[in-house]
Amino acid sequence: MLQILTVAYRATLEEQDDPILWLSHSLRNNGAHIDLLFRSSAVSYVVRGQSPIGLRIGEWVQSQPPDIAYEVAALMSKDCRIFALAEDLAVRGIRREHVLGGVGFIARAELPALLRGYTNIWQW
Amino acid sequence: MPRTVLTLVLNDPPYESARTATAFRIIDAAIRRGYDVNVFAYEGAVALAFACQAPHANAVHGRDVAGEDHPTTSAWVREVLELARERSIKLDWVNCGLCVDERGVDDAVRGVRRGSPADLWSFVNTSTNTLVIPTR
Amino acid sequence: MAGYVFIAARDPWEGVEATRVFEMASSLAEARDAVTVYLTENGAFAARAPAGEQFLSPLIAAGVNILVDPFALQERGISHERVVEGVVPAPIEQLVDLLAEGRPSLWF
Repeated sequence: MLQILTVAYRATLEEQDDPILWLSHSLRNNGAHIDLLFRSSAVSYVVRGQSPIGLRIGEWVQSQPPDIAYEVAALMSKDCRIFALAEDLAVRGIRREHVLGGVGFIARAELPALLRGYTNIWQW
Repeated sequence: MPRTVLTLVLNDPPYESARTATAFRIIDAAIRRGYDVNVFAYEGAVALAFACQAPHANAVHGRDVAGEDHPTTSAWVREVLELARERSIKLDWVNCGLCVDERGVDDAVRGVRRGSPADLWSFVNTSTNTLVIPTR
Repeated sequence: MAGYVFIAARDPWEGVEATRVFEMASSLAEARDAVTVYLTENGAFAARAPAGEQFLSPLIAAGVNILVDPFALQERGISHERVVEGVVPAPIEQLVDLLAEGRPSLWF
């Protein structure tokens, strides 16, 4: 299965995770073989140093902020391959040295070959 | 000196958009700044104050309910209502009644009232500014 | 009261809407209206230098005041040192104060 994520930070503060990363973990934990491709704004998920610390509403202070980069790295530790679209990283000025180790940079021209390797492709 | 009053029109349901957390940050900041706040919750935003929301454990994170400390937007509504009360700030949170009926979320946290576009128009006419946070 | 607040919450690389709104802000500023753009949520991507200069440098040159939500920057791993020149990190309280001035405020 290939999960394609295109939207970043959608309700991640409320959910304390990204819902699709979370689902990917859950499916993987249930035995699914999952790889992920980040496109569009979601390429930000492979950036080091994401740190939404300090959300406060009234007296409530978030004790478990989302740690998106950690969740991406944790998927890699479960043998999920993580890809990010090179062109979408480049236009946003995200260089390789800013990105988690182990992430595969995929050029747009390489997408057809990548997609042919999966029977299930879910675009979110 | 007339008080500064800000009106926010919210549209997004809970757990669907980054706009929700930002809206609550704005409301929190406005109260701390001493501004009165009106919230007109429209469409899916009427579920923000739904009292039946419940936090949950998170097996993926390896945390129980207490450990996950998962926020609910209804708890956030209670927090800003309490914050306003403590600071003698007026926070008037109105749910659009027809939107509530459609969605069946008529059990709202205490302090939230049912209203209509007439309330929104009243807010607009008595506010320093009105900000619509649209949905997509 | 003259002056506008544009709250930019969307990734400017995601479609033409952001570009159109930045053009509107620029036009208003060139007509001598006071315009502030507050970048938050995925709008903060535009603040990353040098990639965001294509969107923001023309605005700054036109006299638009550009602020960025520091929380949105840190959420996206964008350090203050790597922000487009002329963009000022400003906590959300500052946005609230701008709203309290009564300026027409548009969220996109």
